[in-house]
Amino acid sequence: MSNKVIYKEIENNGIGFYGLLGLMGLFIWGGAVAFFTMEHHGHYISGMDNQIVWGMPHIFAIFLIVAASGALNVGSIGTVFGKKVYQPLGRLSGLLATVLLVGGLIILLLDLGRPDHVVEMFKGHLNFKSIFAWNMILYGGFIALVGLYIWTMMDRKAKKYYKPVGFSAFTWRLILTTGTGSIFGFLVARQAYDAAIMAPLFIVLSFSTGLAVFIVVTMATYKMTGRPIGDVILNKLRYLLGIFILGLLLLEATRHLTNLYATEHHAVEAFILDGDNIYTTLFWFGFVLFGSLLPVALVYCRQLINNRTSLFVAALLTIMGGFSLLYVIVIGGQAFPLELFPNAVVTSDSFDGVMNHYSPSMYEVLLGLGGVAVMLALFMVAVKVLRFMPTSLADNVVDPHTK
Amino acid sequence: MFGKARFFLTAMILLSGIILQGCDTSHPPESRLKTALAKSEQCVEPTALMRTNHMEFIKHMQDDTVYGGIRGTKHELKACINCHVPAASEDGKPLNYLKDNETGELNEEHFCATCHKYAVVKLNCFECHSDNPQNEGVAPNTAAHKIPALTSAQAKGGSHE
Amino acid sequence: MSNPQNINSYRRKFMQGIGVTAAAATLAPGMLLREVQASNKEGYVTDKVRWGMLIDTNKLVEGGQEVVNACKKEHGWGAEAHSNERQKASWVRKVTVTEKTTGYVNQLPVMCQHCETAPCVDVCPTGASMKRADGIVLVNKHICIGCRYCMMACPYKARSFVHESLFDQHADSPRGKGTVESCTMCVHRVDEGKEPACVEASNGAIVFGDLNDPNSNISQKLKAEDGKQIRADLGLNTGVRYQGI
Repeated sequence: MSNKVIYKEIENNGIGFYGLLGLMGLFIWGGAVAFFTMEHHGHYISGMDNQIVWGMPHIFAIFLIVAASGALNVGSIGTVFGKKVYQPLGRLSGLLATVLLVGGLIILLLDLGRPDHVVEMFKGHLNFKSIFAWNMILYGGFIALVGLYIWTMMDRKAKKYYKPVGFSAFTWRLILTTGTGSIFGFLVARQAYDAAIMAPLFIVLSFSTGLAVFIVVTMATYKMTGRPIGDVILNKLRYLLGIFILGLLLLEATRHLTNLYATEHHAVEAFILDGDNIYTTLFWFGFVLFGSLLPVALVYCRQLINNRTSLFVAALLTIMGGFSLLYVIVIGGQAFPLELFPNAVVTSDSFDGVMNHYSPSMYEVLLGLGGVAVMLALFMVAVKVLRFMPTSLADNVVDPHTK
Repeated sequence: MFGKARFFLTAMILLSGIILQGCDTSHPPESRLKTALAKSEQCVEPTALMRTNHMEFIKHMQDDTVYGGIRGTKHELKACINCHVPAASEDGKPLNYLKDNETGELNEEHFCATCHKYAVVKLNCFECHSDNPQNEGVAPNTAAHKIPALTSAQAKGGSHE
Repeated sequence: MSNPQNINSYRRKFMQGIGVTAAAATLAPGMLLREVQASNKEGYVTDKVRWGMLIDTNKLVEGGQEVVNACKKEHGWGAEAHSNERQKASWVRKVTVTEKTTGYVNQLPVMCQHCETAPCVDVCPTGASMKRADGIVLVNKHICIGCRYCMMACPYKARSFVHESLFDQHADSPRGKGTVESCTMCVHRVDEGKEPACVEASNGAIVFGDLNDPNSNISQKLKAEDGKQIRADLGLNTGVRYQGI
């Protein structure tokens, strides 16, 4: 029974742990400064305006929220699909999902024009026709359910609820990402959005980015704490990542191909896919080449079997690719002008008919990084004070012949 | 059991009262509030009720106006302002609720701001609403000259104690 | 979908839906009470009326610039000191349309179209983006959190976000930092039985009136001469109609 999975708090008390935590604190402080500055002066100091209303903070926030639901997948595969190999990762998966969501929501909240008015929502001002309002409930429920899920894994007495809670959390996360994708899916106004495929696209995006974040954080934590992690589990995650990236590519290709089928979408597709702008560059180089094809190559290349660096780099590239794709969707979609009159050139002194330009300010980037730092700091503190991490993920522990 | 709690609460209230008294001994300046104060005797509700409940009246009216289109009633913010805030301060400039737009320091000469500053209660009506009376029927100060003119006027007026 | 008595029913609906949450109950019982009271109120505007505007672009002398000027004068937007051109508020703008095939050029003012099924109202998480019973689409800035989702949803780019602190707003046109705003169809004037400022300034190019009343000037004119909607394909049934486009 020496190969039983044992969970323990991490023991690091050295300069490494607190130094890293301090670094996170620095970024959180930067985010706080950015928030208070933007709150005091108003959004005129940001790069956002009445043409590009959602900017860098929203990309960070959406990325973290989408990745949150994806990070839960690792646990769900163990619970819902009964793959025992993944089960030791369940606690970490739940933890990462929670902190990712918290980080994303903080950014979203702090970018609001009147964050103080959010209290009105708790006083009953909720519009249930709004996907945003639904998302608020979905996010709250997600955190609660994942909390329960972690509890069923940590408390032996709660073990009997492990399966049902795991199932609910998995179902909930699918609905949650559908909700996040639907934020864009039903905007009839904008040529670049308004497609129901946005919801499944976001789900697959969450698969790939969530898993990538999970791989990066887990590998880094095991490396830094000096705990062993074996090839069996890493290869499982590795090929899963490959499949998810390919799935994302497939859905994104489908989205563009279906758009190209309809004449009314030709202009916006040309703008994104073949334009002389940052979005085309980000799409082809950021998302397709370096964010998808290269990591897929790193995952499947025969020479790189069991190579951890290649897996780590592939995961990092996937994160970059997902971020690029979100930039193209969020900013690119707004940069393309609204169509007031088909088959006519529309101009005005309020930027009708022009491709809108966006350059993010320092404050927006700091706010976004602050959210990421909140997420990582919460993760570090959690694994230090609670038993989230198996002391070993070596092959003989995770693969005890039971398959 | 509750006795202890009550004692604690009472002590807390007394203590905070003493602290507040000690911190802020300055009273609102009366000179420029004379007209406003005189009118407060003819307010739409008794003074005592107004002191404690004016925000409820205004809030209630807020919904009636936004959703119901009910305007010109005695409980609306505009009516408060038209009565309690003089059209101009002594130097002939509009009387604004902020002494300094940059720092957000409240102006003690403004009827609402006086008390809110004294009581340290956030006053956020005027982040959106007009803080001084504008004549009914007549077009309000037009944007063209009002906004730039006012900013510079306030910058000057801000240093004036 | 389209519920003409939407405000009251909206409120009743969300009262039923949310009123049970313990958080809400403990946070603000007074507030909830206020909501309930606010529903069936005497003197509230009703859905018997639906306000609308018919804009004849051929009669506009300055192609809509007179409308823009009148609106600025009435509401005081556009003079934000710190915002750049892309950030400044724009409640109404003059748009020039050049038909690609024929080269025909037309000019018209574009503002909030006061849709019957307004996308901005649907997407708003708090219900701040709202349609009054009489069809006027407004932002209730008291509960607007400044998320800008409505700006993403509006097909007419009719809305602006206030990017800086404002001072000395017009008494009838409250506007403030961090909230979204747009054409109010001069709701403060309409409530007092007057016409919107742009209608007054248009020298008869814009007709304002009750679309629900078949005998109103606007209904008669629309019935006889027709009026077009911008992006009619979206099926939003706008309250602002155009002639000559």
